[in-house]
Amino acid sequence: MNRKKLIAGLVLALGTAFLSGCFFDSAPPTGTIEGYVTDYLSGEPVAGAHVVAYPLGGGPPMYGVGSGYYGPFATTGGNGFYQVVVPKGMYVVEVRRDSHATSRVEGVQVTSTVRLDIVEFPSANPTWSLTPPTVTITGVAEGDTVSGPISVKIDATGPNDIQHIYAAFGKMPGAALLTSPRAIYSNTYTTGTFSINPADYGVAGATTFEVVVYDYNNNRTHVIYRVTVTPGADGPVSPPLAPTAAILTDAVFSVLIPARTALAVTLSKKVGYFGLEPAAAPAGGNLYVELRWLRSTPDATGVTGDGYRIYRKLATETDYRLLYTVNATGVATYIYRDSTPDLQVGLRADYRITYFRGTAESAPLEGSATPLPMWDVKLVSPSDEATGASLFPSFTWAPTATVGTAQFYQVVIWDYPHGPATGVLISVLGATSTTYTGIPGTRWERLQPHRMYHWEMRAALAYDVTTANAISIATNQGYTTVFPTQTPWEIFTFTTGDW
Amino acid sequence: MRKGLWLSLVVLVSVAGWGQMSFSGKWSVTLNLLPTAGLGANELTLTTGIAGWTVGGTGEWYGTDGWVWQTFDAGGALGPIEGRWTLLFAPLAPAYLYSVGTAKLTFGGLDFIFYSAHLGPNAPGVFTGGPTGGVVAVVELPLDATKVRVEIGFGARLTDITITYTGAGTYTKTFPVDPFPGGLSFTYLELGVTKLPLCCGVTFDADFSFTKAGFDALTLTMRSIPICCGISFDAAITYTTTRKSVELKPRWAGIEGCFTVYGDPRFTGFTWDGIEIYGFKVRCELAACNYLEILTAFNVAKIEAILKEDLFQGPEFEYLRLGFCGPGCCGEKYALEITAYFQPMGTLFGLRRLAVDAGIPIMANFTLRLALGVTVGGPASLALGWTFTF
Repeated sequence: MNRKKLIAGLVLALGTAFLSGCFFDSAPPTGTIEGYVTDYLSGEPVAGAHVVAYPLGGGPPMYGVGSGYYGPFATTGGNGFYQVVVPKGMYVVEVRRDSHATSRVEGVQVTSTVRLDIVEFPSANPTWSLTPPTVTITGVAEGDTVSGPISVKIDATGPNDIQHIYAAFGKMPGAALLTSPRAIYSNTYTTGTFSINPADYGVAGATTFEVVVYDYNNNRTHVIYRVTVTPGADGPVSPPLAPTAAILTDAVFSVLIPARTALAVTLSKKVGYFGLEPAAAPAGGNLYVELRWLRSTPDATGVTGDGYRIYRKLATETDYRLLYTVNATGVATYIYRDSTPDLQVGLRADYRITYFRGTAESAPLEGSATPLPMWDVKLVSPSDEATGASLFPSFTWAPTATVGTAQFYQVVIWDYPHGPATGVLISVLGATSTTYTGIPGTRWERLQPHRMYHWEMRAALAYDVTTANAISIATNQGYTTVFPTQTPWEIFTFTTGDW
Repeated sequence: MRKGLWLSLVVLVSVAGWGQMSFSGKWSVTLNLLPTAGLGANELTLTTGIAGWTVGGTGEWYGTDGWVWQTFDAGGALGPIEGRWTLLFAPLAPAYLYSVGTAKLTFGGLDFIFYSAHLGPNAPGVFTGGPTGGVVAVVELPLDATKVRVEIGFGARLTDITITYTGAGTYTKTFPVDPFPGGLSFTYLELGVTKLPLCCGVTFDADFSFTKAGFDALTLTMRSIPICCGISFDAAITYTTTRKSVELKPRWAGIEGCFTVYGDPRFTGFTWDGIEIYGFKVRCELAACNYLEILTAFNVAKIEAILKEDLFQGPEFEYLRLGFCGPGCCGEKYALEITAYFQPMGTLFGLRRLAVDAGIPIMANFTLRLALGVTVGGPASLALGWTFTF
């Protein structure tokens, strides 16, 4: 091959290559949307969910590209985490998974890395539409400046009837336990015009106005507007104070959970009734850190528009970041529950709570908590459907793991012939068995012969309030309303023998 | 754009007709009969020769989604250069999606390979992030088993890019050149030597990479360092501007033959803890191409990843397969596979699903395919299809 042929060949090779490219444009600068997709009620990760981001104003794309540099598609991993990389701009993020309803978040602004946790529900009926509601908001818009109460109207339409409409400043509104205060309208496609005051949410400066709508198939649309709330005037500030009242006391064992600024709460089962609202638990519902503090001295009833800022630093992070703001209402004791999905068992979370007025901010009240692992309790004896049991039976159970520094159990014996609500409680600290000793002078002085009884674990709480500031709840079947009720739980039946 | 697609097809057919050139191709169809009747998949490939080049296109239709993909290919030699060009369109948008070209030239013992890729713009129904494009040049010097390689990218990288269609079903196309970040500015340079022999069967790789920002990484890899019992490992040391990392990749050939065990050596740090067994397969050849195969997966995800097959559904973890084949029409062979899938509990013997797959040649260039699936307590599926080559 001579030199001319080689040059001609190289030119042709380059020509062919360039021809196929046509125009070599540079990609626009990109940013990242990342976060967790979590199940409702339990806050468990939703693995294998398909996440897609597409520009706001467009429709979901049929065709999309995924590369190492750029990719608007992702599938959540085993921990529910996803990450998409898109050009900077305003986006809609949509999550779909088999047998689940669709979750859509509108108004995700991508400038660098944005954190977006998304709740996804199982669909109520897989044959119903999986198209999330279309939400129209009037009275407030992206980029607005808000300086006081505003009149807002939210309309939602879709193939399914509308179940709930939530609205709030500065947060994703949802279940009462974890996201109060928030506005809620149920079983209506419109809220009508209502007034909402940013002062009730303790927000100032750059914040958000957020709406969450559920339809009856649990499809969900979350709309985020970035707004600016005009701060109030500066005023005197002082740090909030640590709580003094115990969080949970027990008549038998005196103080069970003493006062703590931060207490990590692990729920080992899905939340049952009387806890989180059934339709709107926010992400991370099975693990949260409850913060309690006493009001700052200048915070008295009638002083509004200011609030408390909560900062958090996980053990894996180097700096505190602003997590939330709580409105100052002048109440004596404040409670806030951090349920973000990046809380993890064994991962210490440090908190700082400050009181602010205008641009003035107090020194922080500090607290920390390290969530305990989940555990459960299995009933052992009397075994289910046992016969010939003693009239002073011994009850034995087995924890699935040793969690915390102390374990509290409460056993209930039910005597149905005396009525379904008639039972006797035995509280035990530390041990995994107890013998029924009877209640002298009552019909419970001993169990009655040849009678069927039920027994169950009404409460199983493991806690460490010395180093971890944490409690892990295996069972709470109505023992306390301080923590959510959890289901299901075991119930064993046994029949007593002779005298 | 739809007009453009039809125009391209018409041009292709016209050119072939004008040149009085014959078409060849393949038509493959799957029709679902149960639980509901409808089209499963339809793929039609047409190719023709023009001036020594092979030019053609493939259309793919799926289920109720319809015409999902259309590709056009051209490949051939231009003097000393071998080239190939592929264009991908989205008929349902409709829109142009992606193109990739390759040109290869061998001179003086060196292989020169040029890759070019381009991505289409955002369009209704299409979100690509915007048009981009770039080129990658590769020069390779093969020296027996050892290879010296220089790879330089301008706006593109030699790594997979996946294009996904999501409708009633999800379908993907993967191509080898990623046209990001796009533009013709320098993106990266890699210098590598692979399979440099050391001793005892151990080979050595070295990869040196630069990006726009300067030095990126140096990776030194020793491959197939033997331990014992068929277990070996690769040791890779990577130096970057901020860190040095050491990675050990253990390998285990497994026990091959009639009895195959799938597993991996397990390391904690640099300590070998043992072997983690993911599953095993027993395959007994009964006759020339008749066999009995039992696969048990202790870790379904790992087994499917190793075998690169979506084998099990739901709680299934084991199958028993009988395979038969024999002489069919026109010198071809028929093939029949009957597979029973099992779950841990819940049904008699744990049987959950029965699948029958058959391929029966009807003519020399026509094969009929049949797939029957019956799930215990669930719906049955039946699909009929054929592959016709011409």
